[in-house]
Amino acid sequence: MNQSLRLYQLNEYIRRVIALNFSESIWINCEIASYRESRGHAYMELIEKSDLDDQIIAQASAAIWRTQLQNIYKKLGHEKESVLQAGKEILIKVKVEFNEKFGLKLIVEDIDLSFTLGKLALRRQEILTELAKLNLIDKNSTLELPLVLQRIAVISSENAAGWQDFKHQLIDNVYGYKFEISLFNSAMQGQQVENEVVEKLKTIIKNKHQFDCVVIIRGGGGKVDLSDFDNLLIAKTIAETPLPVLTGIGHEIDQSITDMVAHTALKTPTAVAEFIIQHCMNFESLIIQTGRLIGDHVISNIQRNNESLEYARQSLNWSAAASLSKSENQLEIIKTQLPLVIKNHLQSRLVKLENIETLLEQLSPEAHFNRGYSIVEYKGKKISLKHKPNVGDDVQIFSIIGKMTGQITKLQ
Amino acid sequence: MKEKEKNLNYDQAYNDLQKILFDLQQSETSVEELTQKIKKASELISFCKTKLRSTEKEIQKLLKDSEE
Repeated sequence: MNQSLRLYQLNEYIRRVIALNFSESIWINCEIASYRESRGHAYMELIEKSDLDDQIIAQASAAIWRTQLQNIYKKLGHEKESVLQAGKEILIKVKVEFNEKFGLKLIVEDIDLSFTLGKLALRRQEILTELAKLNLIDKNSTLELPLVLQRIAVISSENAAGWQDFKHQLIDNVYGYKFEISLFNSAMQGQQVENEVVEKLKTIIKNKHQFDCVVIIRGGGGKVDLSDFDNLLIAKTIAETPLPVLTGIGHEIDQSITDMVAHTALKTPTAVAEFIIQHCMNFESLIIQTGRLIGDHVISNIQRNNESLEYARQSLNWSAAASLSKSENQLEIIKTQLPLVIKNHLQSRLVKLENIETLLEQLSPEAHFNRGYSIVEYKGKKISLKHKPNVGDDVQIFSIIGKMTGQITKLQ
Repeated sequence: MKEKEKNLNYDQAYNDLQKILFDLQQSETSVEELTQKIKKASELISFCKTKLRSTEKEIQKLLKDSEE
């Protein structure tokens, strides 16, 4: 037992044992704990967690050399960034290598995308089952959408093209509606999605009276990328949000769980902006229609009143005409009677005048003389008991033959 | 006398006539006065008659006008 080995000898021995036992490449499944690229190569820490308590029970370093990395890129297409990142479960074909100086390293030769997708699908199903059990899937969609959506809390990434599109579409809307848009900046992909989106949602919930709705948007992404939104905690938080949540994070074909628990899920940020504008326009149309109804009502009311006024006016006309014609008749009667009355009146006056004339004629001295009588005056006055002549006085005698003077010779 | 006639109206003329008649029937009037008063009275009568006739014509004319 006194025999000892140098470290190099030991490592060389281990290398040979490994090379002998792992002459072929093998497929392993594991989770990416970290990922970085350097000078065209990729370096990863791979782990396996316990199903029971999530503790790491195995760990190894892995590398993808430049040529392999290019092949894998081609294979993954637009999913490459979503798959090759911390937190993803992958199935990879590796060659186990041991270097005396650098130790154990797994050299990645191939990757199976369907495994990752399958894992994601499985997790998604688990989340859906859990949400259904808690009755949370439809909770947000039962909220009533406010009549007008104007104060909008947006959860998105500041730099995302989707956020810019959304903002501009709302601001430049052709109807001139004004919107208050508040951005709550959050990661929209990767491991930070869960923490940041939930945190922003909670901030919004605290200030719920400042907003009409919540909008969650991001630009396009791959299927694996979308899986960041197949998240139980985000789904639960949305379900408990007292404001309607609109989403525009989708894929053309697939819906994330976030979409499923939202009030309204739309394909793209642009579609969300269109929905909001359309919603405002519906409200405006309703107001215009109501205004027209009121107008119609008022007009028909005015018409009705006009008609009764017109009726009153005609009635008045008729009764005035009737009253006028009655008066005319009376006038006509008076007019026919008037000449007769006047004639009678004038006639009676004429008769009176003629009577006077006759009387005057009878009273005139000539009438007296004509009947053969004479009138005797004494000193220019009628003779009376108080004014009488004596014997010897002169008197004047008026008769048909003229004026005479006589002397009283005897008084009897 | 003519000046007076211009201002005279029917009622005044008629009243004057009544007064003359009353005087003639009542008071002691001399033959001279009597003759003058009768002359005055006959003038008043002819004034009144003229007035009545012209009034009748005038009224007839007015009534005719109003029909048109």
